[in-house]
This record gives sequence, C-alpha cells and structure tokens, in this order.
Amino acid sequence: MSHAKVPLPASLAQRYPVLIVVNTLEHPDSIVLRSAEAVGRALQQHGLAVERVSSLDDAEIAFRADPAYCCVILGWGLCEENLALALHLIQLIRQRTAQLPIMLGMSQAHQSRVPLEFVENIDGFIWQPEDSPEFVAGRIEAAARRYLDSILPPFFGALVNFADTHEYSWHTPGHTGGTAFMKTAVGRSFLDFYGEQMLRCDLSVSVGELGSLNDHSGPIAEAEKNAARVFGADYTFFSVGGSSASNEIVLHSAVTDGDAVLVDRNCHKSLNYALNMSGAVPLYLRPRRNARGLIGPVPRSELTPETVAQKIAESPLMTDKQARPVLAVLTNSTYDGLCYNVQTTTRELSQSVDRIHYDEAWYAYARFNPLYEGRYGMHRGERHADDATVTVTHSTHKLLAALSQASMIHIRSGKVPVKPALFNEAFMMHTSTSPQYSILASTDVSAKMMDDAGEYLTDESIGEAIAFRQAMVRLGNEVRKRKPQDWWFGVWQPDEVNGVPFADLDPQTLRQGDAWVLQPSASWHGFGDLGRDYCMLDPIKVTVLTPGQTLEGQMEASGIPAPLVSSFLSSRGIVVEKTEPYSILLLFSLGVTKGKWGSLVAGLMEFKKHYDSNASLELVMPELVASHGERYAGMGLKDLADAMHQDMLASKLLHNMDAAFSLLPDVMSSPRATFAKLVKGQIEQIAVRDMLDRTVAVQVVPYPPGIPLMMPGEKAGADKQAIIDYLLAMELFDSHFPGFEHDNHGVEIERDGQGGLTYRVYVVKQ
Amino acid sequence: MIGRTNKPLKMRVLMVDDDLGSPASMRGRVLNELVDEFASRNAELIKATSYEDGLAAVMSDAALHCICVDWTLGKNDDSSHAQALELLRSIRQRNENVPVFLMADRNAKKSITVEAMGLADEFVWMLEDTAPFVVGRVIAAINRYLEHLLPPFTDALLRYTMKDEHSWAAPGHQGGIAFTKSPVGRVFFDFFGENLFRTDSGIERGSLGSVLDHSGPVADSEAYVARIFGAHASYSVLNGTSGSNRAIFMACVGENQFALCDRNCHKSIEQGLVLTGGLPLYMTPTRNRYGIIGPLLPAQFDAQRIQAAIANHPLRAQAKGSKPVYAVVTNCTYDGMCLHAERVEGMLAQSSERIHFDEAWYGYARFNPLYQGRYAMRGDPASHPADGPTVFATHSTHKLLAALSQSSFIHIRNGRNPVEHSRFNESFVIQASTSPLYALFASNEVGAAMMDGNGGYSLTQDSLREAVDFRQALARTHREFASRGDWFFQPWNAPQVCDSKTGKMVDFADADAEQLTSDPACWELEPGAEWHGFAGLEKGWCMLDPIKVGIMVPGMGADGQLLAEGIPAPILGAFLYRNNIVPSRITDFMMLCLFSIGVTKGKWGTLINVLLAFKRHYDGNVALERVLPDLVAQAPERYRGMGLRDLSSEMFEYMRSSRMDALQAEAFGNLPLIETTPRAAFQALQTGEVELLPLQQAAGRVTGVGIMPYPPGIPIVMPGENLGPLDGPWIRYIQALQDWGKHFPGFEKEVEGAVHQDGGYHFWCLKR
Repeated sequence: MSHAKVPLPASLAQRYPVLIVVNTLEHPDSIVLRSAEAVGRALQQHGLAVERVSSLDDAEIAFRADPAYCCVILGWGLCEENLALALHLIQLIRQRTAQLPIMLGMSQAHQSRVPLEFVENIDGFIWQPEDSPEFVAGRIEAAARRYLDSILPPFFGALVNFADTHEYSWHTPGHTGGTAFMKTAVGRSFLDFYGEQMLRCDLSVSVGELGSLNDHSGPIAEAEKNAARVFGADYTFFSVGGSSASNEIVLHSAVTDGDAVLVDRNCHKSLNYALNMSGAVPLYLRPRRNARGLIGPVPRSELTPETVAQKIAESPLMTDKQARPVLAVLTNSTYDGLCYNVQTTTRELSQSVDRIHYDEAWYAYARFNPLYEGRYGMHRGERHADDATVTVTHSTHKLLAALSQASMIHIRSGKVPVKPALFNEAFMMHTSTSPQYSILASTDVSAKMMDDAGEYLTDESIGEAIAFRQAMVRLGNEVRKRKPQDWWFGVWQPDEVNGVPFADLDPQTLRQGDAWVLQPSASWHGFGDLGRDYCMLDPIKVTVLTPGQTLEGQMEASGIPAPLVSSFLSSRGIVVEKTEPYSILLLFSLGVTKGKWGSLVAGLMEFKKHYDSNASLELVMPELVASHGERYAGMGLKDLADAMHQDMLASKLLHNMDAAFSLLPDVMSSPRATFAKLVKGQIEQIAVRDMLDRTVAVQVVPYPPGIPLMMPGEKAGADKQAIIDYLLAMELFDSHFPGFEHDNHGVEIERDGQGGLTYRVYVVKQ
Repeated sequence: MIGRTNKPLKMRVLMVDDDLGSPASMRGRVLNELVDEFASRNAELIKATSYEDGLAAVMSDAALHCICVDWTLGKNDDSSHAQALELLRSIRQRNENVPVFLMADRNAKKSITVEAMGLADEFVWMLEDTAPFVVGRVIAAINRYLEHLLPPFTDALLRYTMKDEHSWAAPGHQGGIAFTKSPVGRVFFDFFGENLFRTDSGIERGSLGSVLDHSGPVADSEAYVARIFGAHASYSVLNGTSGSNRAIFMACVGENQFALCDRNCHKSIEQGLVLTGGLPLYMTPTRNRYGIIGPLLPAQFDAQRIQAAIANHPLRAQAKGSKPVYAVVTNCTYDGMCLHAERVEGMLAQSSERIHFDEAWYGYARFNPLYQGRYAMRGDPASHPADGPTVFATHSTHKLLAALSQSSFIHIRNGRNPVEHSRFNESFVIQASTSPLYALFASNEVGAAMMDGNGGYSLTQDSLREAVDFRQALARTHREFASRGDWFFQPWNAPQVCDSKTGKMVDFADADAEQLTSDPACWELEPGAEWHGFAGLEKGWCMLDPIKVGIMVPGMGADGQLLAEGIPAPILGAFLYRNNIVPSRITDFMMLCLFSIGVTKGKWGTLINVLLAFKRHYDGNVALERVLPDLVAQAPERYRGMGLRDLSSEMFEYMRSSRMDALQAEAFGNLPLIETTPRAAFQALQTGEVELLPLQQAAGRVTGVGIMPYPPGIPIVMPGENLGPLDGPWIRYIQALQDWGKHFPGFEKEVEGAVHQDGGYHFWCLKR
C-alpha cells in the first residue's frame, strides 16, 4: 500500500463476519467440528460475527453475493474431498479481495498432505484441536483486524474516521452535520431519507485533517496519488464537476487565444465549451459513419502530419499557416464502444502535437482487463521519450462505481512535461471551492475497488455481456427455425470469428481482444478498411438492432423504429442508455447483476408478442395513450410502428441524417468570437426552415448521437442543404408523434395551439 | 441477498393528552383504543401528557406528521385553555401546514375560541366517534399533508426512486449495486445508505426533467425557488457558487469590456476575468486595526470616480466601450459586513446596467426583517422597475442555509438589458456537468423549501436568538473577569446599545435580547464608533450581521497600538481544534464562528466552556506537551518545554516587532499596477511563458497567478499586476508572512498562489 493504513471504525467493521467453511453433515461428533464450534464461540466473545456454511459450493455462492468478510476459515476435510474446487474458491477470493485472510483449519497430523498451491495462496493454518479455541480466535481476530484496516482508501478513510469524532463545527456547510435539516418538516424528511451519515460527512476545507482539493494536500492528495498509481498516471486530479469540468480543465491548461486544436468531431459538448473559453481555433477530425448511422472511429488517415497540414491550410480562421496545433482530442472509446489502438494513434499524433487528450469518459475500466490492452490512454505498453504528453479523463461514475459528477484527470508527461502547480490553476477554474466530499470519497473508493479486484469485476461484466450477446443470436436462430419469415432483434457484432458462427463460439474466445477487432475484410461493422488492429468493439457496449434497415443501410418496406421499443421497455421499468432510429445501446457496467439481462430479453419478447398481435396501445402503453389520447386512441402497437416507419421513409430522415453528418458546415467565426456575439445580444432566433446561409450562434447537437451537427460560428449553404433537411425531418416527425420528440440541444421547440411545432435556433444577426 | 439499509418513512403522530396516563378512566380507555388503532395502521405515536411536554416535542421534532391536542387537558379552565392556545400558536409558527386535530367532548365546545378553531384543522369528539374513524381521518389528513410536503423535484425524485427500475444506462453503480461487489465498496455503500445511490440516476430519466434544459420537475423547482427568494428567475447550480459566479460573469462581460469588481472578492470572480478577458476596475474596501476587511465606502460607487478610474486605466487603449458592463459586490462579507444594498444599487445603476451581489454567505437575508434593505432580492419582484438595473444574486445554499456542499443558486431580477433565458443558459451549461448528482439538486430545493412561509422567519430568528444569547453570555463573562481586573475574550459588536424603550444607552450584556434580535439599529456601524474602527462611514450604510460572531482576543488597543500583553488568535484556534471545535476562520485578533441554522444551544455552551479552559491553561502556562501535543510532536525542538503562555507571549512580541499589522494595512490599502489582463496573464502561465521566482527576485515582476493570503482571503496582487519593488508594500508583507511561518512552525500562513519550495514562497512571474 502506498499510504498509511486507516482504521475501519468498529461500527462499520461489525458488518464483516468470519466465514467458516466446515462440513457439518458427515461427522456430527467429530473433534474438528466441535473445535470449530468452540472457535466460533470464542470469536463471538471477541465481538466478531460468524457465518457458517457447510460446503465449498455454498461458500462460493455466499462469497460471490457479498464479499464483505473479515476472514475465511476453510476446513481441510472439505478441501481434501475436492482439491480443484477448493483451489478455485481460493483463487476467486484472491481475485476479488486481494488481501482477505484465508486460513486452513486442520489438525497437525494432516499438514504434510497440503499441496504447495494451497500453501502459497493462504495466509496461515489454524490447528484444531491442538490449540485452544481462545488462542485460535485471537489469531483470527488479529488477521481480520489487519485486513479490515487495509480496506479503506486514503480520503474515504479519513472522512469515515473524522465523521466518527463528532466535532462541533462552526464552519460551513451550514447544516452542520444535518442538524439544520431537523428543524423543519421538509428538511427532516430529507435527512431521514438520505441518513445522517451523508450529512455528517458533508464537510468543507475548514477541516484541516481532510486536506484540500484546491491545493491537493492531506488525504485528498494521498487519494489522488493512489489513484495515479492504480490508473497508471504520473499525476491524477479528482474533479467534482463531472468529466464536463475535467475536459474543460485539460483544454484550458494547454490552449490559448488563437491556438489550433485538433478536435474529434465526435466529442462531448464540454470540449466545445472549452474551445470557446480558451479561444482556440478548432480543426476537426472527422470520424467515419456506417450505413446504419453509427459513428465510427476517426481513421488513421485523418491523423497524419500531411492531413493536419492540409487542415491548417484550409482553415479560414488560421492566419498563421506555419503554426503547429497545440493539442489533439480523441474520444476513446466512442459512445457505441469503438476503441482505438492508442499506441498507434499516439505515435501518429505525436508528430503533429505536444499534447494528446483522450476523452475516456465511458471507458475508465479498460486498464483492468487484458481484453483492452494497448487500447486506452494510460496503457501498460512502452512509453516513448518523444511521445506527446497524454491526458485522459474518466467519468468515474459512468462505468466504474462512483457518484454522479465524479471524474478523474490522468496525466502522463511526454516530451513537454506538465507542471502540476500550473495545471492546478486551470483545474481551479472549473471546480468549486466547496467540493462535495461524498463525490471525492466515491472516486477514492472506486480506485481502490479497481486496485483490489479490477480484473474480477470487469471479467464479470464482460462475461454477462457475452452471455447476453450469444443468447440473443441463439434466440433469433430458434425463432427463425420455427418460422423462417419470423423476426427477432439483431445485435451489432461479428457474425463469426475465425469461421465459427457467433452463437457457437466458446465464450473464452470472446474474452480475447482479437475477436472484437474491426477486421478490414469484415462487412458487419460497415466502416470499411481501417487498417489492421486499428479499432476494436468493446463487448460490454451492446447495440441491439431493430428491424427496418439492412446492414447496408437500405430501408426496408416495414420496420420497427427503436424509440417505440425503448418507450415500451421504459414503461416496464427498463431504462436503456441511448436510442437511435433503429438501434438501442445497453451498457454492461460493473453494477450489472447476474442474469439481469434475462428480464431484458423477457421485455423484448413481450414487445414482440404485442407487436405481432398488434395489441391495442391502450393495453400495452396506457400512459402514452393517456397523455396523447386524440393521437393514439384505437391504434395497435404494430400500427404505430408502421406509421412511424412510413413517416421516416417519407421524410428521408435517415438519408438526410447520413448526408448531414457526412458534411462539415462552413466555418465563419471561432466558437469564442461567436459566443461574444451571444453575450452582446447580436443574435436572433429564427425558424430552422429559414436558416440557410445563416451562421448559428450555439451548438446544434441532436441526442442521440450527441455529436455536434453544427458548431457556433458555422453555417450551412445551399450545397449543405441536407443539414437543414435533417432537422426539418425531425421537426416533422415530432409533430406527427407526440411523446416521441427528438432531443436536439440548441434547438427550441415552439408549439402552436393545434399541435403543430416549429424548431427554432439562434443565429448571428446579419 | 443484501439487507435493507434505508429506513422507510413512517407516519408519526404526536398526541398531547393527560388521560394517556390514566388508562382506567373512560377517556383513558378510549385513548387506548386510538393508540392500538394507530399501531395497527403502522403509524408511530408519540405521547405527551402535558402542554409543556407537547411543546417540547413540537419544538425539537420536525418529523411529526400530525398533532392531536386535547383541549380539556389539565384543569380544563381558562389558564389551561390559554396554554393549549399557546401550544397551537407555536405549532403554526413553525409549520403552517401540518394537520392539527383538536380533541374535545361536546361540553367543552363552548370554551373553544375562534382563534383555536382557526389554528386547528379538525375536531375530534372523543367519546362519540369510533377509533377506526378518527384514525382514518388522521391518516387521510397526513396523506394530504405529505403530498404537498416535498417541493417539486424532490417529490418527483422520491417517487421515481420507488419504481425499482432495471437500468442499462449510466451511472454504472446501478443504484449502488456495483459498490457491494467489493469490500471497500461495501463500506461505502453501508456508510452512506442505499437511498443516496437509488436517487443517483442518469439524465435519461425523462420524468425528472433536465437540469441543463430546465424542463419538467426541474423547471417547476426553479420556479418554486424563484417565488421563495423573490426573483424573476432562479437557476439551481451544482458546481458551487464558484460555478454560479463564473456563469454570470460569462453571460455579461466580453473581451476587453470593463467589469467593476469588489477587491474583496471570491476566487471565482478572478476566474471570471480570466474566462472572459474583461478589464478589471476595482472597488477597494476599508480595513480596521484588527485586520478585518470592512465595507466598501459610498465613494467607491460614485459614478464620477468610476469614470475617472476608466479614464486613467492603464489598459484603456485596448478597452471596448467606456462604461462598465457589469459590477460585482460581495454582500455580506465573510466577516458579516452588510451593505445597504438598496443604496448601493441606486449608485451603481448610474454606471452599470447589470449588478451582481455575491451573497454566497447571506442566502437567508430575505427571511428576516432585521436585514431589510440590505440584500439584493428585496420585496415583491413585480415592483422591480423595468428601467432599473438587472440584478443578480448568488447564494451558497450549503453555506448558511441547509443544503449539501456544492449546491448554489443564481437569482435574477430583470431591468434594463434583461437576461434572456436561452442566451443565459449558454453560459449556465458551461459551468454544469452533463451528469448532475440529483441529491445535490434535491438538497438545494429542500434548503429553499425550508425557508418558505413561516419557516424562513422562525429559522432565522432561532439563529439570531442563539447568536445573541451567545454574544451576551460572552460579554457578561468578559465583564465579570474585567471587574476583577482579569482578561477574557469578548464578542465583536457595539459595547453599548440604545434601549428602545428608555432611550438610554445600556451595556450590550444587559440589553433586551428581544430588541437585539429585531432592531437593526443595535448592529449598525455608527460613523466614528471606536469598537469597529472603520473610518469614513455614513449613517446606516453598513450593519454587522449578528449571526457572524467574531470572538476578539485581547491584545489590540483602541488606538491601533498593540497592548503590553496579548494572545494571538491562531493559538486559540489550535487549542479549539485540539478540542474538536472547528471555527470558520481565524485572523490575527479574531476568531469567527457562524451561527447557521444548524446551531444548537449545546454547541455554543461548549464553546464557552472551552474558551474558559483555554484561559485556565493560559493563566497557568500549562506545558504545550499537554495542551497542544500534536504541535509539539510536529516540531519538538522548537516547542518542547514551553508553556501555552510562553508561546503566546513570544508570538505576540513577534507581531509587535515585525509590525505585521501595519504591513498588512499597507498591502491591502494600495492597489498594484495593472500591466496586462488576468486572461493574458493566465494564458502566459499555461503556455509556460512564466518563470518561478523566489520572493526576493520577484520585485518589479508581473505575476501569472492571483496572490491571496489566507486569512483574510482577499487578493493583494491579481494576475497581470506588478508585484512592486522590494521595499514596496506587497513584497514586504509577503516577506513578513514567510518569516512568521519560519518562526512558528505549525502556524504557517497560507498564501494562495505561492509555491512553497526550499523553505520559502515562490511565485510564477511572466517572462520579460
């Protein structure tokens, strides 16, 4: 451990029992069993709870469900009966908790029979019945205590212990440990709901023992250092404003007025805000899109020095054509799960820039599973002295376990090193001087969780995702076997690996990165030749396809638009991550429970059943009918699906969407100069239908896919009419299907009295 | 299976009835039936058998969902009825909406007054209705009450949480489940409780609305908050008032436009200058002999002075426009200086169309008449003149109202050059995360809901009352010691106030507490009064906020000269800290304690006990090993063998000989030369056009960072300003702080913006 141990307060330690695994069935009177019971009693006298199971299988179930034990005692009798299973159990415990003490309970006579593999993986023997129960209990307690005191990471540990000191606070926050909430009824219900603990540890920088986020001192600094070690960074900063703030910090620390920045067009909004604040001139890196409208990776050809030089030459805002860009930004992995070979992209980009930023908001777990090796910013591979400085941002809350707004910035210095003290000035620019300590603690905990058991935890979600993906294919096969013309949902993934159909693959094969690489020759991904080993699909990000569109992007005569499926699932209490016109994205995060996907499959099955029988919407989606009775009364589920599909065919929504994103609008002014016009009021709001040749004042970002259609300062002329047509097709769809409106950031919807609506957008005054 | 870790909310009913104690009587038997019936409906019954008991329960327990009061309790005569009425009034003062049932029988009907009937919601005729009927009425009333108890967003959030959805979206912990998969995560989950995680859901949940688009329950919530705080529009911010201030700054100021800034400003104002590229024009506050930063004087707001400052601005050549586009004033200050906001607004409106009051420490002012005229959102929002300035206020809800850290509000009243929502929102979202933590939003809203209706007055009045009680207790203790020629700490406020009944001056310690909590005149800084020591004030210009309690240590004379003996406040601070009491701030001669809503009697009582303990230890010169063992462990060779008084005297002598107070006065009293904008300085810093210089080599150089000694936490040099000569006020003061730290390890002064290296302060300066 890199930090001083932090005691686990007794109130929390109580929840960690000793697990005793001993066969109680076969030898009810055996001396081993009796001494185990005596040890159990002695442990209870020491204040340790005891949980007993009588087989290795039960032990595994108990441990998998909840690994919160302080010590495991394995009876040698059970182990001897099934050495392989026993060893498997020990390995499981090791993978998941690293330091949980495991002891073998046996009599000395049998010691010589214990194989080496056991001896090197356990923490000790206890000799029943040779030693007194008191003595044995004492040894167990000591081991348990050592272990419990190693559980807490630096900051959360300090916080837990401080909350235990019951200080009188004369500082902020004003609720002072929650007491203010107790004074009124509404406050009291808030306190009861969240619990006193949450409020007692809501503390501020006035508490010196906990350190400071502003100057990175004390336990906060230790926690950041610990996270840097765990995530493979030279420096790590914790942010409480989400990755939105983290991205802004990174840009602000490197970019100044007029600097050129290479930016993935498929980037989060926050990067575009950062372009505004820093005064950058953006040069966009254009990702590929496939025929189904999924956004792919930025191809390597976009990253070469020649292309970069060309972008500078073509940019109307770059006055100094000899200037070098100062930073490059890539989104890795993309929302849909496409991950770069980072060693390749880093080498390539290092020829043009001194800093590379990988926005890994959705990808913080990559370092902890060999599946992803070489495909994330803080990779374990070789570092080159002439590499650019690499920064990475992680939304800890997205796919690790942490509270919303928790995020990390990781830095690896390259040829132009980062000075932490200077970086901190940019850091403070986007944080609060009253940071929420529960968010910081959750980040700290998250790092420790991954340090202790990262591989185990990622393995579990990968395994669940693979099981779901294979099950969906098998179900489809079965459905069609029964009735060849029948339909089922597809999954966006390889049809086969090395000639073996996907459904028949050994799941172990699918745990190898090779299985998921976008091969140049494969047609399923639709991105063409990206180069060998350039990009991989992350198995835990599962895109489920609905009927209506072929792999080649051709629209079929009938189809089921995905928003209808999502809305149906949502009414069944199943929330999906993202819905595209004909696909749905699901995330298999750490929080996924075993078999949770079973209810998802059931939900999809139920949809199919109701769709096939054209069940009345009043019955299957009563809430929709209740809020828009005049529109949907009397319709069936299939009727609505057909109507939506036909509407999208007629307005060429997908065709326009594809064309719109293939075009980059014309750049008229930088994001910062455009924002200045907005501040000064030199803008006006007009209908989208009138926006030809007008410069937009705000970002226009359709969600999904969440990639900017237009940036502030850009305009669409007659040759880029598709951009406007795409927005108008969505406007038309929204007016036809109330309850299914698109979410377009930067576009405001104005409704007339008759259910009609108009998209409106801010443009710069002419 | 993971067991339940959250508590279900249970209905709680208080019953005030003496017959609860006499089960043998007829009424007692009927009551017992009621008790059983409540139990069978899973409601918790709290029993009180006297009005005093009942009153105590009402005052201390806000989680009562219904109160049943026996009108005939006690002697059932005029005096007992008066008590019952008093109880009813107290209930209503704290809570206008909680259902109150009056229990009586027919023959008591005549004695029930109209007022009592108005205060109660229902009558129960004890001997005539069945127990299930009465309990059914109570539960129906509770349900109606609970329906409207929670403000809009929190209500939607809690309802949504009940749904037990399966999520395939972010956040990845999925209602906390991911945490339970590892031992350390399990501790975290157990420690905070399940509900925090259950309510932490992503923005895909349409039924909660959007924090970024201000739609659905979020929009309802912000409208609700605007009503409570008297704004035209309010925004809930989850990145602290730091984020709120930056959002407003960015919405108002463009590159090279003038921004009129209070020099006593929060770091986020400096950040606003960097983000926008605005040109700063400063308003400089006063300072007194104790080193307390005082109010801005009226002259600072004078339109002609501001015009002159623009005309003489060193960077005027690059300026766009000749008037400030924005002005920001810190009100009230950290130390409790409340300006007359109405007058300030009137003066500033001549120079700027947009005025921002940074009320981070002052969110409660609207709810108590004591603060009348001294805060931004005064009176009825409809009365704000359309041709008046557009006014912003920012509140750190978590600071002095009840909310979680990082929650904050922006309130807006539109006048000339009004704010258009959709334009303003473009700067709002820059400061927001696309993954908001909903618990923060809910706490912010609950903090506002608590101040709605009678709640705001009764809660602020409680804090004022506690603060006044404490100040008087401290003043009395001080007087008692003084009468024996002994020393003690004293509160920083007027030593005498004018009694409103007699018109005579009385000692603060003897003043009527009622008057002290309601009469602003007791707290106004009289021009020329010695106790505050600020020169140049006008009558009524500035008031001390009673709830920001400064505790003065002995040592500073009325003439600004140090006395023969004194106790530096940092030593007192270390002693308190050792006793698990954490004050808000410690300056050289004062320690600041905030009497927020959360304050309790026990808390300030303990504070006085510990102050007395300090005195004992000081007078007895008790060994530092005993009183401050951590300090001795940190620097044993420096402190071993010393007593508390020894250290105190040494420190005090050092303060005298180094003339720290005079140096500080000079450093804050003068503004350094602006050479470039904060934005340009920051960009030079980030691109490495800077060098790190030790203090002695930094003379005449332009800094890349703001330099802010803490305390008092106000910048002495801003980014882009010149540090001045070696013997100039700024370097000399920083040098003195550095020497202090070397002399007294463990008591180093924090200097924000300085890098500690090789035992001294270093600063990033722009390359020449």
